Amino acid sequence: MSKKSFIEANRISFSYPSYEGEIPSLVLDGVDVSIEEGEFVAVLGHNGSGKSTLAKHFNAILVPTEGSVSVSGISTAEEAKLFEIRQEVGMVFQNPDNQIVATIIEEDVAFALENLGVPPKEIRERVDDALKKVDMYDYRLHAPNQLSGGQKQRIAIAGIVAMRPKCVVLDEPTAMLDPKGRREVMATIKQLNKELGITVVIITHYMDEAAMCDRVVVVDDGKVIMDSTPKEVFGSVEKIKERGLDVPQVTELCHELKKAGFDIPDCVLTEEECVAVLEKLLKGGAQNG
Amino acid sequence: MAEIIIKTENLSYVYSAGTPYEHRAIDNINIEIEKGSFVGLIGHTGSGKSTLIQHLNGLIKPTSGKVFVGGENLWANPKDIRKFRFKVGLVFQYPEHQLFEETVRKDIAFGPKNMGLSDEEIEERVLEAAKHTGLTADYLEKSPFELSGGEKRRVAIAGVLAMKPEVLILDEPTAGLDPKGREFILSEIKAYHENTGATVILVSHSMEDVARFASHVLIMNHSKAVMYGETREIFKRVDELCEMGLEVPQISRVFAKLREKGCEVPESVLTVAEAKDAVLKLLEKGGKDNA
Amino acid sequence: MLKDITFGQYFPGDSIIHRLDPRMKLILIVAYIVLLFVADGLFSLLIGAGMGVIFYALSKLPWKLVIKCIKPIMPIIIFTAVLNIFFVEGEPLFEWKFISISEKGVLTAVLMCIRIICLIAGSSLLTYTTTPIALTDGLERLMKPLQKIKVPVHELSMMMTIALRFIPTLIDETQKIMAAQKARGADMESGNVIQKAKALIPILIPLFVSAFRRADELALAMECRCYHGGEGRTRMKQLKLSGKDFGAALFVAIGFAAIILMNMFGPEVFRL
Repeated sequence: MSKKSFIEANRISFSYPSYEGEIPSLVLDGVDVSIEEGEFVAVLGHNGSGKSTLAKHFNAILVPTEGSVSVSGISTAEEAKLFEIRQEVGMVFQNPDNQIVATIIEEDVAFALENLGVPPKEIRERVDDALKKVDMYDYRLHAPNQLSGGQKQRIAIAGIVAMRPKCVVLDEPTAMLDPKGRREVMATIKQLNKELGITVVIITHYMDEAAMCDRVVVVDDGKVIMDSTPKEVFGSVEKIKERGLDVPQVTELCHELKKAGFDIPDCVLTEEECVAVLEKLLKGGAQNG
Repeated sequence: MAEIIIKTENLSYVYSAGTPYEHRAIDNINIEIEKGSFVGLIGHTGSGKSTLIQHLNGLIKPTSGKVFVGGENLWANPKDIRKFRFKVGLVFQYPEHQLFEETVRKDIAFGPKNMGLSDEEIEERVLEAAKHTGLTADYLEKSPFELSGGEKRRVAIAGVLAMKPEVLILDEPTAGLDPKGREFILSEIKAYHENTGATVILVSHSMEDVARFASHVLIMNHSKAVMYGETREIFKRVDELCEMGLEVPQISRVFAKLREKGCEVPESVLTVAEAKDAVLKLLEKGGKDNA
Repeated sequence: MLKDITFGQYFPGDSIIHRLDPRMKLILIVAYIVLLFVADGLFSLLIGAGMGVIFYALSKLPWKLVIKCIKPIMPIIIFTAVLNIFFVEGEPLFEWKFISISEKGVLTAVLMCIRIICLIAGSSLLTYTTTPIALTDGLERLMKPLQKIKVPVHELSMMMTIALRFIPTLIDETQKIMAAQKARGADMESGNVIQKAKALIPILIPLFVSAFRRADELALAMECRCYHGGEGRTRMKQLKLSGKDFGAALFVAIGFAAIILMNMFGPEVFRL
């Protein structure tokens, strides 16, 4: 039985409309990606690699110039099903300020549901529920400009969660936040996936965030060049650095030591792993073995 | 002892004094920054960093206390305050949001023009600033609005460099950029520092970047300057930094943990390269001892 | 200075005035303004002013807010008063060379001042006690019948909401841009009018560029949340008129009646 993936991008290419006489440049060039329900996927790539453009295909904000994208088996080119698709796949953007519509937090979280024509009583329940899920219920009557960046971003997430989507796509949700805000937002995102079972696609260029995911897709020059587990992707330190990306410091250190001829595991991703590896190395004198 | 370029004396600033929103943004700051140093300024959002740096070029007038630049009291003669804006160049966060001219050349020239320099001098400075930020000649005639995010930011930084400030302050110059863009901007700043001998103050959330580039570190917490010293000395205090909730470089954390576990690794390891050397050295020594 | 835009600022509270239905508040404020102009003498106007005082007392807001909202229009009040005192003709009370002040002039001046003060204080009370969003919401619902004659009521109220949402953000942004240009030596204080206008360009252009960028991103975010105009839209908060709304309406109606009676049968002194 061949089960169709939740989101399936089939050989998609995309170029923005160009002025007359100009050659349109391909932003996406024959991308094949499929995302299963419940996955936690990071999309990595430097600025201009096409990663944001790819993400905008997942909820029919953009439609490929070639190829096709389907969400739950519905093609994103089907205009009549637009709202169905956008309800299933919600999207959060980089600048929290520019996605909050209303002047009161709870009104903003209700925005999508009001658009969808949900009955008032149900809106109330779903808004309260969404606010509790991002741990912002106590702030429901605040104005957006009273909140920190991380809090605003969590409100933006709540506004999507209130739609009860199957999947949330986040386009560099932490790029404009300070470390504290980043931690808050990442914790919230992780919780969406682990506790609520929502599929998460996070576009980022922070390697530590990508290292938290189950799967990492690396996009470069409009193509998918790697698609695997974080261990495997970051294991190829040279290849990643070549593409203008970075690896976590611990990964780089262990990679360097391995290159210097020490017997250490292939890919170290977390601090704990690294401490354990180095401790063994330093105390055990691994090289005399 | 080296010359002191920036000095603050009991510097305090209170926002909305006398209202319920009264807030002491910086509280009794006393620092001395040596000429030619590269200072990393670290602290949480709201710790007073932004308020402090805006005092150093006279954008904000202190509620109490004094600021000296090159030995001169900033507010001795308030009419002269603009000259300190040229001495102490300040690049704000997301500086590309302040671009406004038709061409990159004109935008970079805005500062020098305000200084009242001659046309030749302005042209010379524009070219030099463009070179410092890796902008080639064909960029100069373009509209700043058609550039990519990273390029725009370079133009904006060039606009401040063109004033040839003795002190260059940058508020999170790499925010929102990808690793490649971050690396580029930071290495340009470092090169500018080395080539011109200018004092640089880099405000950053990334301890990793600060660890790599700064000679000194200033830590702000709850409106106070809580630590100031050489980078290596500051990063020895990993525990204290963590307690303040600051992000210590991953590698420093790993080495702190190794020391806890009884490994004789050096006290302050800041970068991957240093870490590698340290491990190699230890293993070599250990190998000899065993033999 | 930019943060002094208090007119139209909400002061949270839980008084009966705060809890009135915004639609009712809007209707009542219109009625109140009409009533202020219907009143044609000092006594009837004092009834109007008295109603204002009662409303403020019920709102439990600090009294200094009244002064706060009147302060910015003080020049207008003084100007109106001076104009009326010197230029309304009538039996002179006081004469000196070409200046003549009539009793009618003084009376008109006093009445006009009370009227303006009540008007501003009344409408400020509306904005002090009603969140901007409730206000736009109330307006949208009140104007709904106009949709039949193709007035884009929902769109207008959406625009209002977004404007309200982004005003503080843009004020912040303006201050940041000003600081950044000052850091490059921009001089905004000195020079003549033309130079000062020119000095605004480095602030206005980035501000516009940023506003457009924000608008773009906001539109995208709204699309992602299935926004498609007012059709088929529901609202989380339903407005329902309750006893207190009718009570307030009754109170204003009584005041209105009292003023008309005072106009008709009150003492003939201090009238226009």
